[in-house]
Amino acid sequence: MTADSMKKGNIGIVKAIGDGETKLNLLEMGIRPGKTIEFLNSAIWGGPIAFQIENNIVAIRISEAAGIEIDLMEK
Amino acid sequence: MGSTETILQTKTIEVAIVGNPNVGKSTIFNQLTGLKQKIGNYPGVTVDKTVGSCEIKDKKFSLIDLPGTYSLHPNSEDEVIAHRVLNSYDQSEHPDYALVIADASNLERGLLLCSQVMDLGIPMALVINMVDLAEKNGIEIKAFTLFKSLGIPILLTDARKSQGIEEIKELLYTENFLEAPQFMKMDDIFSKTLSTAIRSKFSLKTSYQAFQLLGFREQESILKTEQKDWLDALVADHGFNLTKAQIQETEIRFGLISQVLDKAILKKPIQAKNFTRALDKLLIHKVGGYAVFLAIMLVIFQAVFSWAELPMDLIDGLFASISQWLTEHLPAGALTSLLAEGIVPGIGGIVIFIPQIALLFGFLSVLEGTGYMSRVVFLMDRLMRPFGLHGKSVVPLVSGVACAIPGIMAARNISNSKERLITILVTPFMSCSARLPVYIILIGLAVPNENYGIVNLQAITLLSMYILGIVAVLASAWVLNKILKTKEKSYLIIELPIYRIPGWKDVLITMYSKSKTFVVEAGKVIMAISIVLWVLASYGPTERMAQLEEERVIAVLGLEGEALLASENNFASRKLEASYIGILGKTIEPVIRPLGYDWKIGIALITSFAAREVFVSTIATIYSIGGDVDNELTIREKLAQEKDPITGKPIFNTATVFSLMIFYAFAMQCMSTLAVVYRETKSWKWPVIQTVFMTGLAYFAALITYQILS
Repeated sequence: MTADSMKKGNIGIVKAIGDGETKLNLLEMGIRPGKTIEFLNSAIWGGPIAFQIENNIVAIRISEAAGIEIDLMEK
Repeated sequence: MGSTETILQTKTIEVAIVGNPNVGKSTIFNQLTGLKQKIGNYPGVTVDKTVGSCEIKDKKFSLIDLPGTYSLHPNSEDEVIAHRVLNSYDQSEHPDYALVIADASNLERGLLLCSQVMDLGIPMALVINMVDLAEKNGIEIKAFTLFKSLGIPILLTDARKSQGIEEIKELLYTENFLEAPQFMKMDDIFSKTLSTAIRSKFSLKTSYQAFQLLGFREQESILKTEQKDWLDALVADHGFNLTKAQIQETEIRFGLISQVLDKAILKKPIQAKNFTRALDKLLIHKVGGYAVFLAIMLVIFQAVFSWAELPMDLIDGLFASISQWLTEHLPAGALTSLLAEGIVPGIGGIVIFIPQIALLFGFLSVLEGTGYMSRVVFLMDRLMRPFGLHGKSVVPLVSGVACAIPGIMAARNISNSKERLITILVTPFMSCSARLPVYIILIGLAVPNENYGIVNLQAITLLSMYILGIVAVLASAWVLNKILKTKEKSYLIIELPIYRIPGWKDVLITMYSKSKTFVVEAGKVIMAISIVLWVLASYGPTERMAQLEEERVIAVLGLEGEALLASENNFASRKLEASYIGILGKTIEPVIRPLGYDWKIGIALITSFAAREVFVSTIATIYSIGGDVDNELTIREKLAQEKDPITGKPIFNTATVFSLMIFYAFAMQCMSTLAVVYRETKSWKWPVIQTVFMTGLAYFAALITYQILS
């Protein structure tokens, strides 16, 4: 699944970043395979999503989140 | 410069400071340089060039504060600047050393940038900042191990608490910078033949510099067309895929960094209380987040307006008394008049806005320093997008409530050029502080000071004018979004940093530097226009003016006190009518008649081009109120009594007043803003379009308002 379909409180592991114009930007922010990713919150009306990625909170739009493939962790 | 002087003068050592955003880079910069900072421009780009100087014992340093970036890949103009300065392409920029700042809690990301700087071959050192916080979270950094792996000097600091600043000074003084050993071998992703060819043509030292030059060839304005073509041909010949190579580069670097950090960092699993996450439960909540944001904005505006009132009154009074003193103590004549009626009020008209601008930027800098500003971008992004704006457009728009100039300059960190352009074009619709005195006078004329239930009618009218500004911003942005086209993808990737207490010194320095920028930017234009307007208002066809002067001398003879003042005011008004500006006002009367304005208001519209608030003083002079211009009640009473000489009806009737307010809400009347738009967009096209669009809209909206109400 991709990060945009995660729900509040979901935790996952980043599997891959899809090839897209923002791949390099996502990598530079430390969003890369092997990192744990947790869905924190989203802004109203399909606005950006805030993810906890290891030590950092990073906000990205749904279109960017759709490029992040993850494995959901069972609670 | 004499030759002896040259020998005695010690060389200034240039150090570039580079780091990720939110690592405390500007705090360190401010600690080292204090107020000895200069903001300038880099040729060809709009990024602010902040250079500070500091002296340590007998050595002089010039520190270049490069914009915060995550990498040296060309994502925005910020990276272009970092790239250009660190490679010394620009003849005026050739730092001797680089000082990289990294966040102790985010070393992996910090080392990505650090390792790229290492591979450029510039002598450098690494400062790992905010170590206290990292320790609290169970991160222990073994500095010596890190030094052995990287081969560059390393300092651990906590700049907010001024810890480690002395060590940085010591490092600077001893010039303990080292040229790093190559961190990453480029051969796998960047062929040796390519690298050698570029290196020999541009005489570059390292393979990574050659790789960087390829990456930046589109954006780098310093390259000649012939050089760009040569690079393009080379890339085509080798079938080199740059984007792919940059992604590979990043992945390889992170791999190497992991190996380094495995040895150099000890992580203890401490479950620290996560203050930021707890606070974010409310601050970025779907409903609560917006409520808090709205409340914060209201508190800030309330504070800006009420706290700025007293200093603004003082400034106003001060400049009025300087003018008066000059008139009384200098020999009468054109020069005195220019000084007392042109230059001094001109400077006063600029200085009066400093309290509001300093306060607003103080508050914005506090929001930035706490880490809240990124949350605002997060909250607002979705709401701004339908209008072709970006979450980051919020800061320029909010700044626009004080003054459009710093607002437009704040649009620089929007990376998508279309979103940035729309933000620049619509920001002047926000109701700036120069409109406020105009609204206050006009509302007092047309709206009774009565309460309707608990709502004060005048207050609600004023609020409506602010809302009207916001509506104009969104509507015109929406239209621009439909017209303008771009191939650039719009994206949002923003870090929400941990919440912290802002650095108060940083806040003060921001307030100071923003006010200074405003005075310099707006000052030049307002001064120039004030002088031109003074000339137009003081001179007219010689015969008529001389005749008026003769009449005046006779009329005031033997008059005293009130009667003298009334007569002088009467003649001041008649002289203004006879002056060039009076003639100009009468010329445009047919055009503004349908809006409900006479030629006197026409004059005020023209003088408003210096700054909108000049409307008030012009109106005061032209209706021969004179004397205490600051007393709004006096102006208001006088204006209310003004009658049309033909119809006998009040000139400032409800329809005219509302038509004027609408005109001032929409019209582009600020030359300083246009000058800044020109500089930011690098062409006259956009300021011209902006003027035509805004003033056209103002004309038709005012026309409709007047025709409906009259």
